[in-house]
Order: sequence, then structure tokens, then C-alpha cells
Amino acid sequence: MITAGRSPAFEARGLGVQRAGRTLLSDLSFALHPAQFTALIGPNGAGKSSLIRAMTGEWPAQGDLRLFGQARTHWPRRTLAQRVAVMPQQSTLSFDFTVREVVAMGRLPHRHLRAAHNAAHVEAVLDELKLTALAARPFTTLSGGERQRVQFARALAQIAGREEAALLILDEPTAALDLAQQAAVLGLARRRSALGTCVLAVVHDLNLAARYADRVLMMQGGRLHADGGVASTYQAATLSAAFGIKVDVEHTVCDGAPMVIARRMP
Amino acid sequence: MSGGAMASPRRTAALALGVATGALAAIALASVAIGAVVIAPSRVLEIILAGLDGGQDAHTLIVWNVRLPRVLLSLATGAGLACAGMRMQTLFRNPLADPALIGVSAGAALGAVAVIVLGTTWLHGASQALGVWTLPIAAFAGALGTSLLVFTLARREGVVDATTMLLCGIAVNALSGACIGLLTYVATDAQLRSLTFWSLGSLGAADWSAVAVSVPLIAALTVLSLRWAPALNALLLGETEAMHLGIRIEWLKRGIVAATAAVAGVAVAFSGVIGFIGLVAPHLARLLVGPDHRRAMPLAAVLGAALLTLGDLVARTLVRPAELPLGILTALLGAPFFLWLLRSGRWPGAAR
Repeated sequence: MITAGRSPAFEARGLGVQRAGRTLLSDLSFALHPAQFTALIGPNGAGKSSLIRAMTGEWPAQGDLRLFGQARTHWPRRTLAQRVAVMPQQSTLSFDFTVREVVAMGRLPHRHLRAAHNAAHVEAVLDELKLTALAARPFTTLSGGERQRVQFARALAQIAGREEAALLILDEPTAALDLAQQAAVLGLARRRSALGTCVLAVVHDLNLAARYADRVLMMQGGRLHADGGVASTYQAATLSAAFGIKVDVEHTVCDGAPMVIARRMP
Repeated sequence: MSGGAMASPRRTAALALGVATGALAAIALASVAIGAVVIAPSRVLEIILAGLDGGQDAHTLIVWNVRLPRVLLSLATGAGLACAGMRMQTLFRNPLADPALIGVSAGAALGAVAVIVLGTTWLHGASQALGVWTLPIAAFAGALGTSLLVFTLARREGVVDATTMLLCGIAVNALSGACIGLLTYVATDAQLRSLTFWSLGSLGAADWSAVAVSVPLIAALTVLSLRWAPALNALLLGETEAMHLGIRIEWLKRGIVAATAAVAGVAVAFSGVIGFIGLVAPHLARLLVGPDHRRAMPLAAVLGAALLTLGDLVARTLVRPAELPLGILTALLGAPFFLWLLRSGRWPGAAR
């Protein structure tokens, strides 16, 4: 019996990844907690996507990896899928599934439940993301931003009804979205964390990350560069070192979150 | 609200499946009735219902010994090839994949031809031990080998490149063709005659032992495909996505390759290389009811059975009393369809 709640949703000790003779990640140790929104930030090539692949078992990794207190390898795949949803960076689909069908695939790990129950979750998520009007449209005819929202909806549908015991991993969920859609998607992810979900999101826009995250994991060169609250990690020196460009941090501009401005390169 | 929205595609699917099954029944009955000797459909039903003890008159013999096994074999082969094509397309996440096009059928034919030519010399022991199963097993081995080869070559970092896949198919087809050519060169006259049959494709060799091997096997694999339907749907989203949805994807992929090779193996062993059914039937099914395998797979099976049976009926009545090789007929109709598909841009990587 696995108890939801007090144990970390994810815990890594000495996590490392090697691919084709190259070390992509080395000696990462951290824990992610329920009801916490963690932003994963860092420059390109820092290892953010590699970390997600190692966490979800897509890539083999060294070290001790635990999900909800249990070693990852002990989890049957389907049971794990009932609690861990992953939204990939980009998905291609060359068959004409409708938006509703794609979102409904999020309920596959729950296919032992009543069909009407699963369908209700799908409709609720479609409604929440304002996708109901698009529900019957083929996924292949959507714009990039619409596709990203549909994939986000699929991830939300996967953990619907058990938000308090879930881990939601989002790999650049806002890349193709406009300002209002970015706010909507991160706002919904934040609402999930209020319900108890452990949310980990790769966010490229540092100012956006600062406004929604409770906590920041900053990566650089395959290592953890900084880990902590937004105020403590968003220091000009820390960010400049991680991103390799001189930045200024303004702490009093909007929503109480710091704002980062990169200096012009000489 | 959701009830109404959900029920309508399901109703469409049920309707399509019902109509297709009706058409299939009519085609099957017509196929048993029509031939060099035309028998009234009512008489056909009478003979079938009377069973084997119905008498020894000419009509009973024709129905039971010639037409019924042939129609049953074509139903099984058509359904099997259609489902195999659909599974292949899902595995490659590409609607252009077809067992014949990517070289799997050619590999099966190579296996079969090798056994025919070398069965009396090098492979004598093996063919003695396996008996009636020799041809299907040899064809299965050839099909399995080629599908593994193409799948390995066409995949980079978990993504199948459509161009590479089709090019691999061309290469594998050419290689199998060359090997078959070599074997033809050393074959005796009697062997030569049966070799033509494999390269052209025909249901003319249908008998009850072919039916006994292929019908149960293909029926079992079709049922298995239906059980896999939710996992196959997830696989269309992507291999990683399917994994995150709890699908044991390495096993699923192995299962798809093995099942497809098995179907291609028995199909080729008893009827030679018949192309394009695995391309056309799944495509029509998806066009009618969408890509969800729970609806499209059974419809593709019925459409495949109907198309191949109809094709065989045409092939053996068009130039009566001679017979047009069925593989030629399906290629004549299927190849233009493939070109249209290629042109329409309904595949990944196509310029839209």
C-alpha cells in the first residue's frame, strides 16, 4: 500500500546520465514535494530535458530514484502512469484523431474505471482549457499553440480525480503560446499544485517562471546550479553564472516576483 | 451533452461495420456461386447447410472441394493482410507502411522459394520434419527477418523516417528479388512452375489444409489486435507518449512485428505475394470511422476480406476459363491508389 502525501513525490540521490560516452547529468540530488510548483530553468544544453527523461525512465540513469517513496523500478508501468503525467516538448501525430480523442488518451491508464466517469473528466478538462469548441476537430488541423494546449489537456486528464497524489511534468508547456495562453496554462498548472499535485515545469522565460513557481531548480552543465525559493535563487550573480550573460534583477516590479533583464552583449 | 457527442462516432462505426459485413456476406456467397460452373445461391446455401454428407453430385463437390476452401482462404488472407497493414502503419506511425511495400512479403516469398528449391536437397531434413508447416514456417522466418531489418534500418532515435523506410523497402525488395532470381536459376522445371505462383500471387492453390493453418492463426491474431487497440492508439501519439500512458511499449512493438510476420508468412505461403490490401483496407477504414483502432481495426478486417474475395472473384472470372493472377490485379488497382496517397500529402513529412 502506497500512502499519498508526506513522502516526496520524487526524490533523486546521485542521479547521473551518460549517453554515447558523454556525461549529460552528474550527481544531482533533490526532492520534489506535493503541492509545490517547481520551475526547472537553465540555458540550452544544461540538461533539463535529459533530467525529465531520466526521471520518467525514458533514459536509464544511475543513482537512487524514488517516486512517492518507492524505487522507480518497483513501479508497474500502468500504476505509475495513473499518478505521473508527462507533457512532452512536442508531439507529432499523422493520423486524424480528434481533439477529444487525444485528450481521452490521457485516461488510458484508468481504463478499468467506468467509461462515463472517464468521459466526464475529459469533458471537464476540455472545458477548463476552453477547447470544447475544438473538441471534434482533427488534431492535425490545429495550430502549434492549439496542439500544445491539447497535449496539456491530455496530461491534466491523466491525473484528473487524483490530483492530490500526482506528479505533473511539463516540458516547455508554453513554448508556442501567446501571453494570455501562457498565463492560462501556467495558472491551471498552479491550480493543480494548490490541489496537492507536485508540478515540475521546464520554463524558458525566466520572468514567467518567477511569477508562478514556489521553487526553482536551476541547472547548468548537467549539474544543479541553484535550488531554492524564487527570491533566493534569482540573484544577479547566480543567474549570470548559469546563463553566461550578465543580468540585472529587479525585485519590485510586478506581482511581487523578480524581473530579470539581460545586459546587452558588448 | 457528452453522451450525444460520444455516441455519434460509435453509431457511424457500427453502421459502417454492419454495411461492410453485409457486403462481405454477399461477396462471399457470390464467390462460391460463380465460376466455370454457375450455381444458384440458394443451392449453394443448401449444399453448405447439408454438410459433407450432402451427396456426391458435381455441385456438392465443386462447392466443398474447390470454392469453399478458396473463399475461406481469401477471407482469412484479406482480413489478415488488412490488420497486418494497420499494425505496421501504427508501428511506423506512418499510413504508407504495407507488408508488401516495405519488403516483408518479399522476405516471406524468399523463405518459401528457398524451401521449394532447396527442400529436396539442402533443407531436406527440415522439410521432412515440419511437413505441412514447412512453407508457412519458412515464409514466416523470411518475413520476420525482413521486418526486423527494415524496422532497425528505418529508425533513428526512436523516430521512423518515412523516406528511409520506403527506401529500405525498395532495397529489401530488390535483395529478395535477386535471391529469388538466383534460386530460380538453379530450380528444376517443375519447381520453376510453382515459383511463378509465389511471385504473382494467387489463391488457386487453396485447399482445406491451407484453410486449417491460416484461418485459426489469422483469427487469433485479429482478436489479439483488437485487444491491443487502446495500446495501438497510444502508440500513434508516439513511443514516449505511449510509455508515459503506461503501455509496455517494447513488448507491444515486438508483438506487432511477430504478428505481422506471422500473417505475412501464412498469407504468402498459401497465396504468394498479394500487395496493397494492407494499404487500401486500413486507409478506407480510417476514412470511414477515424483512426481509433477499436473501431477501425474490425472494419479494416472486414473490408480487407471483402476486397480480396471480390478481387479473386474478378481474377478468376474476367478471362474465364483462364485465371488472372490475383497479385497482378491488386497491384493494378493498388499502385495508383498508393500514388494518390503519396500525392495527397496524408502522411508525415509530406509537403502540405
